[in-house]
Amino acid sequence: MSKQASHLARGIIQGKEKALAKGLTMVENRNDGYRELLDEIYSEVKNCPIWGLTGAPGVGKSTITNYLVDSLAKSGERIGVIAVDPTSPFSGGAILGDRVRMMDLAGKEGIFIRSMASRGALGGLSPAIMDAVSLYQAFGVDRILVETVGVGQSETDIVALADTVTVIMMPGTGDDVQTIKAGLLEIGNIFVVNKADLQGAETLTGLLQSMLSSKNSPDDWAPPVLKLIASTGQNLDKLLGEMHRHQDFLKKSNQREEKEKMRNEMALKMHLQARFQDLFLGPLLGTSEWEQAVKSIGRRERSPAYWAEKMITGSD
Amino acid sequence: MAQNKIRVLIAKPGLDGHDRGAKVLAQALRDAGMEVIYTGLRRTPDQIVSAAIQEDVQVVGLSSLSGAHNNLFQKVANLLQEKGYEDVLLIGGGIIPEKDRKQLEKAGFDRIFSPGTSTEDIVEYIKDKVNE
Ligand code: B12
Ligand SMILES: Nc1nc2c(ncn2[C@@H]2O[C@H](COP(=O)(O)OP(=O)(O)OP(=O)(O)O)[C@@H](O)[C@H]2O)c(=O)[nH]1
Ligand SMILES: [Mg+2]
Repeated sequence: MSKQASHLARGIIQGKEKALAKGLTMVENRNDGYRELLDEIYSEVKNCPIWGLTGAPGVGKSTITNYLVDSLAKSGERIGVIAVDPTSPFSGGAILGDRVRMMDLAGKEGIFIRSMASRGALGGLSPAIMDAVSLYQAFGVDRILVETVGVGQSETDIVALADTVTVIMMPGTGDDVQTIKAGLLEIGNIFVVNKADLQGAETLTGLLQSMLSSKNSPDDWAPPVLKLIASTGQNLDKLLGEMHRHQDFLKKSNQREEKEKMRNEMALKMHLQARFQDLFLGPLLGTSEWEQAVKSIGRRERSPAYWAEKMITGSD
Repeated sequence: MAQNKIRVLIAKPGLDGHDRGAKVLAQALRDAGMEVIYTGLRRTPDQIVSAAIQEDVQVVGLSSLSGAHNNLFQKVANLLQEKGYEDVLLIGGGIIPEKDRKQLEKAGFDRIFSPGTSTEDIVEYIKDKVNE
């Protein structure tokens, strides 16, 4: 048992900010002890509403998050924020700039903000983000807000993570129809057209509304479309109201448990995938069989599909 | 498998609006594979230190070109110390006269970089120090 992990686990459960910060790093880096850490805090994890905000780069997610967190904290809630920005596929580095719009929150009692890089996770969410949620819930927050980079179709994991997903768009990006087609309609519980001060907000709102009404919703929730000007605060109170309304809806329709189950399955799956990679893929990389396969694929002798199967089952 | 990244906070304390250097540096650090949390302009020492703690960065970098560095940089160094974070690598840069540079390096800063420093040198310095 890692001493550092138990020490951090105890600190997190006691609500110590420094322990939470260090624990998040341990989990994010998958450093020695991270499994023990997660396991030790796990019995102290308390469910709380998780709100996801997603949308294309620059639509105003952080500006909106800033407002929401500020008003929730004013009503006495303790809030955990996870702000995800993309990792550069070239260098592996990242600029995490969401705090630029949230700096009024820094240092305020009861607000904890962590910026995380996507670190190459395909669906936009890395397993570490699921684990970060658990750490927040053991630390003791009343609500978690997750801001994720929504780049079209890859942004669907957020559904498994968040109870309430708010999809944010803005006019004038030129690819309104494509964005909407790419599956965002299915994932949003609430839709926001931000930057309503810019031209085209009416058109986008109308388009969204008509697309949403033509789609028969699987449950009794009809996703609202709200027009906002986040930079001046216009209609942000309405958004907060709708988010609370959706939370009540989930509770009344007993869907919170379903969401919870989905989240747990997702976390288990992500951990298994990572372990499979470590255990099975890792040892194969660079072996003589690996090199042989790469050569054979290059000579167009046998396909990658053939080789993958052969490496796993040993037979053709 | 461990996936460690160097995490750096780049902050602009005070009313100084010159952010070009801070942004150039942030990009250079990202291109060197680091994760850079950029705070934006006009931050107080309290906000900067609170962000550094929550983000659990190994490096805090302050940038100032307006002349207000002595007071603001010193406050950040003191606050970090007060909160038990004297082990972060604390660096600064911008328009900072030689004499102030020396003074700050005595008072808690690991290094102050002057205009014209190549970003490669800064990257290398950070990598060396963090991996020490
Ligand atoms: C461009 C510039 C501006 C632009 C800023 C644009 C922007 N968004 O950044 C504009 C036109 C807006 C501007 C305005 C002003 N400016 Co001006 N500006 C400059 C100028 C010419 C270049 C600065 C720059 O961008 N350099 C390029 C970057 C890449 O270099 P850098 O910032 O020095 O950063 C490098 C290093 O210093 C180091 N570094 C910097 N920060 C950090 C941080 C860390 C952690 C590390 C490790 C390294 C590091 O690494 C970088 C890469 O090598 C300088 C003169 C000069 N030669 O520096 C004056 C200068 C900084 N400005 C000055 C002044 C007075 C002003 C104004 C007050 C002018 C006025 N009267 O209106 C205003 C104030 C603006 C404000 N709100 O604060 C003075 C400051 C005097 C002083 N300190 O006593 C200077 C020095 C000019 C002068 N000689 O008088 N300015
Ligand atoms: N005109 C206008 N600008 C806005 C509005 N809301 C936010 N902005 C501006 O849009 C820019 C991006 O805002 P952010 O909140 O950083 O957007 P984001 O979606 O978090 O961006 P990323 O995290 O980089 O994807 C900033 O310059 C904001 O000031 C709005 O209602 N109208
Ligand atoms: Mg943002």
